[in-house]
Amino acid sequence: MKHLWLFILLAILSFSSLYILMKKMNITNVLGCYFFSNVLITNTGVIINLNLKLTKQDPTSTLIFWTQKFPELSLKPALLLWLIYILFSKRSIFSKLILLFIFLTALISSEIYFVHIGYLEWVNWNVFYSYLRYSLIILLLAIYSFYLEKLINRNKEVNTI
Amino acid sequence: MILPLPEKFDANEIFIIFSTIITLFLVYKSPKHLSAVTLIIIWTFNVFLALLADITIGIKPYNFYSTIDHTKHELFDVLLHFITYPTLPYFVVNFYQHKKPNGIKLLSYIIFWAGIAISIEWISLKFHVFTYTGWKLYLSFFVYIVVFAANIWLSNFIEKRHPYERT
Repeated sequence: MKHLWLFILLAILSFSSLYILMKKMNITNVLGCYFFSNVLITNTGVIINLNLKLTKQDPTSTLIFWTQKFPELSLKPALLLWLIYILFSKRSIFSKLILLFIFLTALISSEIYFVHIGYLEWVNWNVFYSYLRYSLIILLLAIYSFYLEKLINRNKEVNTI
Repeated sequence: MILPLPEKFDANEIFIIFSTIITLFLVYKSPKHLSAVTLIIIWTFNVFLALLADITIGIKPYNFYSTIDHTKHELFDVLLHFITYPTLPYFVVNFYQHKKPNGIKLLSYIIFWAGIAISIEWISLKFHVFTYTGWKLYLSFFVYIVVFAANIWLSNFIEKRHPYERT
């Protein structure tokens, strides 16, 4: 139960951080990216777990289910959104790469934690695959965010004309 | 397989294909009252909601219903989530932005669309797109009311920032 409380606490922190992000990024882009990151996390997660059976968990435990569901809806999207903000900021490529690695590691750490506490079993899965999974998610999310931002700016231009 | 194909290509797949084609045609033909930004946000929001519902109460430990042939996430599930499901909320929001009813008219408008949504869901039950294993149709009615109200709120929020421009 303490694990669930830990992720509820992290969820509160994540949503608070998203509130701060809304002041730094376009609020529409934040909302779109939040929804889309969830879609990507859920789809890849289901494919890995249900379809390919590369990971395993006790399907009958509601505690395990919700302990994993909370970060899926809060911590992971928040980390991805902050990463998108960093990637489109005016930082140097080098610092972006370092931050990319740190954020990817943070995303994967939550899964390693689940494996460590016995809530998740990696059958034919490893850390390297997790890096690949989240890299793909970041790539797709960055494309979505880029074109949405472009559309937002075009809409603004049309409205000012 | 990453996205399994149907075990049997039968009534439910045919229903999904036909309903997807018809709704997409209607989306294409209907007059637009939303900006492109609103359209994208509303569409993404509904894909998110559909997945959230199906991958929360549609799988173990809850397993209140299953979609299509089996418990796996198959190709036709993706079609349902990404194309078929979001079209109805699109119509709800699109026509709302045209007439902008409020008060009792807005409530009637939402109830009307929730009625349409459960009618479609009832038909899809007959075609075995969904199989209830604990879920009830009347529960969907209340869910649709909340979902459509959330969609209308979100569309107002986005349209205020990125309004639709008539050409």
